[in-house]
Amino acid sequence: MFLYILIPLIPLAASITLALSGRRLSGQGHRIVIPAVAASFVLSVAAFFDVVGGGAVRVPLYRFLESGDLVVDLALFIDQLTVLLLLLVTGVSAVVQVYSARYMIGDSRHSRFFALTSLFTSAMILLVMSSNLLLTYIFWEVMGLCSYLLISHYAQRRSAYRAATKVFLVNAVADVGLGLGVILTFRAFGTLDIPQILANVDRVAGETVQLAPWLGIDASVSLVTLITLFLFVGAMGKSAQVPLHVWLPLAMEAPTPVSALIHAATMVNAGPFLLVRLSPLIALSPTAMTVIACVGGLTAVFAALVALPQSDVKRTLAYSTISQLGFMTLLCGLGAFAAAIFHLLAHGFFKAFLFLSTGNVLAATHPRRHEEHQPTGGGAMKALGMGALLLSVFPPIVLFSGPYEDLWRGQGFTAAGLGFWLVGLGTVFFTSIYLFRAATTLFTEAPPSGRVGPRTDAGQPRLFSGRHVLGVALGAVVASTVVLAAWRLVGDFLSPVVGRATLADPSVTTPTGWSVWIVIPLAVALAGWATASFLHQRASANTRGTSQAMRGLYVFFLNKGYVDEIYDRLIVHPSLSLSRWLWHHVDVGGIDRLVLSIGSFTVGFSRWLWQLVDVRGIMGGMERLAGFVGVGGRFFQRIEPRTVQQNLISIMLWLTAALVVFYAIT
Amino acid sequence: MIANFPILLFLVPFVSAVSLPMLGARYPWICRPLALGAVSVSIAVAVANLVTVSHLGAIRYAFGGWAAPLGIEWVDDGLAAVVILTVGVVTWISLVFGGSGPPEARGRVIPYYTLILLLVSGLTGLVFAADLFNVFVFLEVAALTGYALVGASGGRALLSAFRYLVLGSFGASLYLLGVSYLYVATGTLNMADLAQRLPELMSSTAVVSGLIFVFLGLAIKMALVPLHGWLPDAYAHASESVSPILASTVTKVALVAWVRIFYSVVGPGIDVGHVPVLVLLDELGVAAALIGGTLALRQTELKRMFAYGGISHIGLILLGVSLGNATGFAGGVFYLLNDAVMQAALFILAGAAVRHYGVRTLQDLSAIQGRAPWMTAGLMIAAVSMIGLPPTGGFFGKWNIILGALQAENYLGVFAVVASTLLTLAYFVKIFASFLGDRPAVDSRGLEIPLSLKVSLAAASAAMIGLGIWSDPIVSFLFEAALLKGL
Repeated sequence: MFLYILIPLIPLAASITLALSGRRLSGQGHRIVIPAVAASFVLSVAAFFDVVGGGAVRVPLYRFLESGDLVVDLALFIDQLTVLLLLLVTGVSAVVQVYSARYMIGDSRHSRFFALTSLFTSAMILLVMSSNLLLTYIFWEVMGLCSYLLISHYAQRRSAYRAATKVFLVNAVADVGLGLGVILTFRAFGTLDIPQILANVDRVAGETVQLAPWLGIDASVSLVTLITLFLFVGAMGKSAQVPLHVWLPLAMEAPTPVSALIHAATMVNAGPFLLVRLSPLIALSPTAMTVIACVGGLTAVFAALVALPQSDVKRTLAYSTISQLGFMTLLCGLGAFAAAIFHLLAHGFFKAFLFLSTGNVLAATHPRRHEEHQPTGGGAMKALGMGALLLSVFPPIVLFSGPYEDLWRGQGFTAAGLGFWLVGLGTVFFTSIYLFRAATTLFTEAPPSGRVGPRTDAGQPRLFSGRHVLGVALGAVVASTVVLAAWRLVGDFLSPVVGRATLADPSVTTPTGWSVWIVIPLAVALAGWATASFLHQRASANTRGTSQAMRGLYVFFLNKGYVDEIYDRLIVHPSLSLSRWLWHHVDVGGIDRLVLSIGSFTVGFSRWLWQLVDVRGIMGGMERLAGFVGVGGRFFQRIEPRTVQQNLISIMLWLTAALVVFYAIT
Repeated sequence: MIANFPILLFLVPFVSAVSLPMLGARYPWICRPLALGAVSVSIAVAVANLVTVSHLGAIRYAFGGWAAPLGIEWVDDGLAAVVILTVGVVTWISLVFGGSGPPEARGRVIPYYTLILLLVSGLTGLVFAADLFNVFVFLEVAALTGYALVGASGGRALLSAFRYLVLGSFGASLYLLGVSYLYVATGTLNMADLAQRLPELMSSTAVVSGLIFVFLGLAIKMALVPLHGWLPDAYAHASESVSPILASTVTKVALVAWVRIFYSVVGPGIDVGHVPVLVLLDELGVAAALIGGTLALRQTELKRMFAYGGISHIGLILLGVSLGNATGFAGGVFYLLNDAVMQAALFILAGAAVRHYGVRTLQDLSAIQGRAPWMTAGLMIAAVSMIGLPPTGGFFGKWNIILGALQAENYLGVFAVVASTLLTLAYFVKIFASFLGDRPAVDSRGLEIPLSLKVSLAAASAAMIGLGIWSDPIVSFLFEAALLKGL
């Protein structure tokens, strides 16, 4: 019990210690945070074995608040899902902290950085361990705050603080959805306790809500669908799903270790985690599942396409993250919750690795444009290449490892099956291409297509040799075998906690064993590699051979689908002009003028009142009273006995008077 | 042990007072620790005594085992326990400040501590005594040490001490005269005994005159207007080491003695002719509160202003305890505790102003401005308490007195409390006005404030605020344990 509490507490304590110590620990932050997160990781491993042996645990700590029916217990809920995420969060975070210890040397906001990353980690730990939706919501927001503060780390840079603000705003918009989802959940279940909700999902399965009863329209929607969709809006924000994905590339303004933390360990994983955590609830609503799957698929393909023409390696990685998150969401939408978590874990570890190696390269070569890099080659290149390979191979393996295609069909969406194949394979294909590009161009001087640069002979992709192809193929086979084996383990491990989609056809069961489907995506991935390499060579040779339509597409995706511009046009500019108009005409012209006239009237009235009541009445009265007191004081002082003789006489007089009075009375 | 608390409380300061000159002549350094230690032990015993009394009820201590009418009896009830504890605390606070005088006063160290300890033992006896003659004895013990302490600093103080001596002795003789009248009429000096015999004798002129003499004697001791003539000069001219303890204890304990005599001998319901005695006492309290406040407003010297403030507060306390109901009585006693602490704090402040900055009058007060943060804070808290604003104890005392006055339908009393509050506010406004006024360019001595002053100011301020914060339990204790017969 004690052990579970310590997992979030140690990084939190480290963060507070660091935040409060100020300059005293300046430049020493990593010495506190690394051991703290490492201890947290060790404890997570222990917790993992605990749960493997003993199943889910609920650790009540204390009653957080109680208001009417709303009872919020601060409690930890640790089950199979939680421990897997704990391993990911603490493990990746520990690695990132170790990396940051060198990366951040000499930074002027060293302590702040480590305090915040530590807080970030503990917030994510608490999010995955929380047993209450309200606490989940709280730590969800704490993470938003941490991301804001970390992205604005280089606050002297205009782009950094603008990016931080935009990230925060986009997340805030999505969090409204999550808030509404939490409120609706409480309305539906009467509790926010996650285990209780999950135990009672069947109770609300049939309930419906009238959307607009005051309009007289009979538009009822299933309660579960509504809750799920609201919660999904929150998940869309944190997990950067189209159209709320614009913040993730901006988050690159943060120092590279933070990017690794956001992309691999904390922040973005919250979305899929929430969906999987509430999977028994989500699985009850086919409508919501379809929406989730569609959004996820759209995100996956769109982001993969946008990643293609980007020339900044960190931005390529950002869009790759969005694409992979789209994959996870797609898997959730398909009901393959366990696969989503598996993909999340795999992606987390590999993305952390990619970011940190990128950071190394960038720190070594400084500029961030592909074409400006000096070829470095060597170990870093191989590392990045292997990472790219594994990343491009993972999604197809887990996505197409068998059962989920059947599931999709089992839900009766045969028409969508085709789309699923296209989405999945398309994403795999494009992922391979852009990762290949990123990996190769980063270490060569070859200018990418589109930007016409000076042609050099050194621009040959050095990975493209016979030996390398053989090595890559072997590596892929070995990796996929390992992955498949691991997948079976993870799938079995997670099976008690994830929900099962309600199958239209109960006869469809999960097949076991090796699946032939794995071959197709692997082939597609390799085809992507081949295409990329071919295109690369051709682009090096000739940049003018593309058609007008292709150029249009290229420009479209180079500009990230114009999503930012659309937002500017449709939301930001109209809001600004509306608010400017409101300010000018309503505030200044109407309300302010009214307030000012009321104010000047009040001043006039009060001046009159002051003259009448205060000056003439009260002050005059007070002066008269004070004069009276003064006269009294002077009188008493004059008759006050001064000498001993006067005193004695006065006592004698009083004595006589008292005696006389009393004799007279009695 | 428990039954011996009263005599223990008397013996601790008394034995120390007797042994201090002998020890001090040999080891001069021992005086201060010995005196402070004795007072600290007294406080500890007083706390134990208070706990005992609140749990087990009043202790009646018969000297030598002789029962009451024959022997001498002390009564240790809730009122006595509370007052004794307060006397101990304010003595400690005053000693911490007062004993840290400048080197030129060192020559009088032994008499100073001896007299203070004797004063404390006299006051202890005065509080406990349940016998009219015993009251006289301890009244004189306390008064004689008081005369000596006032005169100790020489010069003009000697004149004031002489006046105090003449008037105090006159008061004591009036009291003794009254006691002998009562003795002649009833044949007993024990208060409980007197209470049994007096009712049927109330028409006797001897008894009435006796009571008038007793009251007038004690009224001089408690400096009730218009019999306060000795007090302002004595306190203003006494050295700054002496005035805090005198101002905070002597008059209050005399008032306690009167309250005990009145309630346990005469009883609150008694009429003289057709006039209830309580109403007369009330009116005297009202007059004292208002006249004292008015006179304070006219003073230009700090100590004198505070002395008149104390006189005004004696009127308020007398008003409270004479309202004839439990609320007013508890409020009056609670205000008495507050007033003891407030007077100690004010005279410590005034003494420190003289000792460290040479400031004696309101005019010079701005010399302290910006140089004494501890004193400024202490003055603020004391002012808040004197004016009677929450969260200090002053507010709750006045509040209960007003409630009691409303309960007794004594609207003059309500008016007197409010008006004296306004007068207090007025003279503190005067103090702050000169304190915050233009600072003269002179640079007087002693910028550093000694630790002893800080400690005593902090203790006094904490006591004032603590009395406010814990006013509820204290007042309810007074309701439960400190009410006298007839309430």
